[in-house]
Amino acid sequence: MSRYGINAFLREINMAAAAHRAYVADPGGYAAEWAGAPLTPEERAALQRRDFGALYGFGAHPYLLWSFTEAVWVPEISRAELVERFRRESAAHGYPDVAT
Amino acid sequence: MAELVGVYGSTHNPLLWRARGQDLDSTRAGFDRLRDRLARARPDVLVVVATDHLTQWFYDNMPAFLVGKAEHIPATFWNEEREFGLPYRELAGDAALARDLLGGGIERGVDFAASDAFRADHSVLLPLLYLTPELDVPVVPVFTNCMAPPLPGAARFFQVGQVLRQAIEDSPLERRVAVIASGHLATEVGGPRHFAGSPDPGFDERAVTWLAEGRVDEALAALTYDRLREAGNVSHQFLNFLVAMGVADGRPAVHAEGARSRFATSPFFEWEP
Repeated sequence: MSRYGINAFLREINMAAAAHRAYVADPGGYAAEWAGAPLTPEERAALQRRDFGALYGFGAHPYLLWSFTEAVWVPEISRAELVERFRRESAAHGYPDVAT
Repeated sequence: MAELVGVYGSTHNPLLWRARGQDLDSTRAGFDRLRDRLARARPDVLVVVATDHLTQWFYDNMPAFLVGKAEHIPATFWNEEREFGLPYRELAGDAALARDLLGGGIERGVDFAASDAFRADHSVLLPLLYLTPELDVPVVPVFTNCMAPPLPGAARFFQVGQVLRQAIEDSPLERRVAVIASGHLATEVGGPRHFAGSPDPGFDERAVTWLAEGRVDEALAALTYDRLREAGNVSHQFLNFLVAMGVADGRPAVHAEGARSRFATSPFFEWEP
């Protein structure tokens, strides 16, 4: 488990316009190459898939994760639908520990 | 000598900024009321107690409590412009008062971290956009960690408020100082209960009552990390209102309300200085 790495990745995509553009253009490639902090293979794979449900289950910080999810899925999925999907997928994990 | 002229608590929910609708009338009224009260207090400087959202302060270097000593404070980050439509602004700081708060805290056992390059996010800017729309009153930001567990305990937040009051009153600077705590009631973002009004109206009601009636011991006993998370996964920013309660020496608030809307229940508090 490397929550620090997940959170650092999410924060970079959220806060740096160039990183955001590059990741949205090629999530699989960008996350495969990312070397900002250690990640487990499962964590990296979830980032390659933009899989917010799995990242939630790993204990990503909910603020960073929601901002990220909105930034990389809208407008492909409407915000309203994404809010709903996020509710469903996070509910499957309850409230995981988020301490790093 | 510096003089404490007002103590307030405000929401900083960034979704309010571009939202419209009648369900927001009581929230707007809450901001309007605080703006009038603050204007009457005629502060020279605002001490804003707030928690950034892992924007400037992140897991690579996370202070528990920090005083922003910068003379110029850029406010909001690119993602907040994108996500909430918030403007980028530059605030004036007050490094002289910040130094007195830092030193006054350390003398009394609160070892604040300090930053000469503070950048604020919406937790500082959003309340100011409503309460001092001209952004013409300098700001000393006090960052608190309500975001990255383990958090300081509730009693520590209260104590930091008491110490801030003493440090303000001990400052030899000629300043009229108002303290604004920025926080939330029950709030969830990025979880199963997000974006559907308050996730825990019962908590909101009790929390407002603690402050309205000055029930310090009850609040400190109840506000554990787990209880706050039960109220909503990011409700911990309520702890900033304990700092304000400490600044007011635990006296009952003269005004305490939770304004309901589709986003959450927005807190507005005022204490006599």
